[in-house]
Amino acid sequence: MDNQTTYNYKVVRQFAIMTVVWGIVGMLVGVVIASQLSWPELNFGPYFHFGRLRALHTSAVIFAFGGSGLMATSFYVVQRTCNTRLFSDKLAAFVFWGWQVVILSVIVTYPLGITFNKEYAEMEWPIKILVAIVWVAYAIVFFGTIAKRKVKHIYVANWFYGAFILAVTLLHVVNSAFVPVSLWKSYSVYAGAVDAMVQWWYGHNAVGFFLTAGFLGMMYYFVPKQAGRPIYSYRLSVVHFWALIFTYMWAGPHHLHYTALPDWTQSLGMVFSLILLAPSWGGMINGIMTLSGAWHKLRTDPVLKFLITALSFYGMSTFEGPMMAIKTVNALSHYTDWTVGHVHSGALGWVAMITIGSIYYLIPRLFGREQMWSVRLIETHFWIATLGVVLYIASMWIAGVTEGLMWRAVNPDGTLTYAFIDAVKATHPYYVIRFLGGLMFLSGMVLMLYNVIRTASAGRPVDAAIPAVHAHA
Amino acid sequence: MEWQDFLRIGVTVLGFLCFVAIIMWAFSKGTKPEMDEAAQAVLLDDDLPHAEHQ
Repeated sequence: MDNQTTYNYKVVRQFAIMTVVWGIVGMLVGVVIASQLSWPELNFGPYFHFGRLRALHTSAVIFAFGGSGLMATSFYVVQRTCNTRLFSDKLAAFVFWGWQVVILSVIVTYPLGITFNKEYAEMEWPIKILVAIVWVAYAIVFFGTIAKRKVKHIYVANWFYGAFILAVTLLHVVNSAFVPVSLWKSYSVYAGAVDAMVQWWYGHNAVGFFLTAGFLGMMYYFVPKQAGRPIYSYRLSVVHFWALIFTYMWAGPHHLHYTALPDWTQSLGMVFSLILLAPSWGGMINGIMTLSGAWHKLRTDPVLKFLITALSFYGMSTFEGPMMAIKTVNALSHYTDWTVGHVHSGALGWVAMITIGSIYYLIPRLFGREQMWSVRLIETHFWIATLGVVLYIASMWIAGVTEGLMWRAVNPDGTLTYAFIDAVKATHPYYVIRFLGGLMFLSGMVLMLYNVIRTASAGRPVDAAIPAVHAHA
Repeated sequence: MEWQDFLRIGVTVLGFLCFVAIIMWAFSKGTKPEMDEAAQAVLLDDDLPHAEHQ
């Protein structure tokens, strides 16, 4: 039904529901591999082994859960702020089904051991090509919608979504450059330190543009909407955007401190990572201060709690990140579980929580309801999730610093004080606590799915009418 | 190699000047009405389902 008097909510609805479903799948695999680290007996055969499931976990949470969340919200935001229906319904449907095929082929191939062996880009070349095709379709739908907008100004959230889509295209194409040797095996065209640098240019910018810019787009729309107040400083949001764009691209080398990468490149990566603190905190303050004068809303509105807590975790992890990028700090933290804790304060605290809050905002609107079936259940979800994140990151900090200190400890005669297995034993209790934290976060998602199903079955799928462009001041 | 270095330095300096220009533009008096309007426009768009049944 190509009706230009309504918005296309169908594709938003599909992506929104799959966000919750893939969230549960991805986090379940996360809990499985966390338990495999705590109890190694749980590694069964080659298909159910940590080494293969870990890549499945990261890809499922980043691209299936995060990706679906970004596509759902970006299609909603771009339509509502441009006062126009999506550029093409057919192409939007192709983006949805294409993306699901990508996810399913990843779920099948990773456990089979089919891998390109690049972190966060393990899919083999036929899947990489499909990703590229779907992504280009996504870009056409998004930018096509902006091109036919009915309002002159392009709202800042769309700038962030747009940067995310463009940057991910560039990252995916450059890092995926492959030489195929068979249908299911190919090799990177880069070699040695260059390959490592390209990988972490990709890896860190996936953090910067997929997991940051895209979700900041969410933040700039859903925080003001849910709080019922305009963004604290629209001017700051413009500067925030360009500051991120100008600085993020060079932070990648901090993943390769004390490696074969040229020293100047490492130092440059460290300096740019430190500079990144400024735009990150500028954005966080801009989001949180949107609530100034309306702090009381936080007490009663669990959706707002999710959004604002997400920003707090964003602030924490973007402070921690630059600190860990300092070479001397990195000498302690690198290769330890501190890194894992840092990633999850960003992934669970920031990315997942802002997504969960935004999806709770969307679901009632997509099903013709004024609010979710149970607001109290959202409140419960919030507390379980928050406690889960805190358990996760606190245990990984302790485990990480313990490992770092034990690995570097030397006796007066220069020999190592501890064998590697000593550090493994020391971290075991924290691995169990991490498993519990992850399990709590996962259970929160199950509550969410139940709440979503109840809301959807109480309502009916709607395509909202496009209102007349509001009068200009 | 020299012209390459020159190009690299040039792009960096140009990028920085561009950023400074963006800050000055964003915080200049002239852009305030447009920015305030953009910030308000999102809130004026009522997307709650009850509004559409009329």
